[in-house]
Amino acid sequence: MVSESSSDTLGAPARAKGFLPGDDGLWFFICAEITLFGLLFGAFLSARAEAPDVFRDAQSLMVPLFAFLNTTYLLTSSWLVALSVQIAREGRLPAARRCIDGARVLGLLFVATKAFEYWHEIDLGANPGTNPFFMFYFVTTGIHLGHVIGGLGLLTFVKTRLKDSIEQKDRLMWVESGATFWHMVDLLWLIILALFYLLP
Amino acid sequence: MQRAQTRTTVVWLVLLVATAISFFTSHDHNIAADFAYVSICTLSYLKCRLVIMEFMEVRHTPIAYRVFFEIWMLAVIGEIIFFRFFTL
Repeated sequence: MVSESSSDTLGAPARAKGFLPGDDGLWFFICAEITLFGLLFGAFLSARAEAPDVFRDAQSLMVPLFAFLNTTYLLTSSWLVALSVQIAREGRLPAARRCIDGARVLGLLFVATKAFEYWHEIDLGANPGTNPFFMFYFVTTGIHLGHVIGGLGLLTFVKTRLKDSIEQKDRLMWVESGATFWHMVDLLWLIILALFYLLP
Repeated sequence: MQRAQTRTTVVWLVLLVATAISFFTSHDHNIAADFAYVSICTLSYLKCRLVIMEFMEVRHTPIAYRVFFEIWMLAVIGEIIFFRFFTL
């Protein structure tokens, strides 16, 4: 929901307690999504606790460079999207569109890097049937990748809303909603990064 | 509003530095595995909290949302710790 104060260009709305950026329904959806991912993470951890050697050996095949690049892409795109919200609140639409464009390019780089990484892993003989680690890996990162692609579509639509012909209230509703979804994608990746690439 | 953008940029830089430290900790074999595990968990918690509170602006949302996200973060990090140190 966009409150009256969300069109304030001085940043006051963002400081007012009780402000919910974007659409109310989207927040409900995000709470449900991250809860489901939390359960998926728990299932992964439970399976790993039962066969730690299998998971450790499989994890050693992961290439840290791919994960590092993808984390940098997503964190930077999230930063640009957060800036686009703040800039859109000031009414500087061309600058907000440029931030969204930058975020979309980084999102596409994430997709390309992930596709290359999958190709590399499959080339090594890994697939969802290889062992429980790779089953969880392909399922979890595959669902996440679907969210990245969906988020890119949403950001593309958000860019079309950053026009003068649209009311500021509606414009902010879209840019805040798109941003919130994109940050959720970033948030989930940070946990996936720890589980599949970093934790020894 | 400039201050808000500066704050967002500082958060982004902290996230990048924390990520770099996480990778270093994970792949430095001189660091004890349990210490690396807890360090990466702690850094992941801090990174998630920054994304939630700063980028998603949850710190300004109604208290029910703030409580939900705090519980979610603690639950996820809690399960990561639990399955490592409290199961056979």
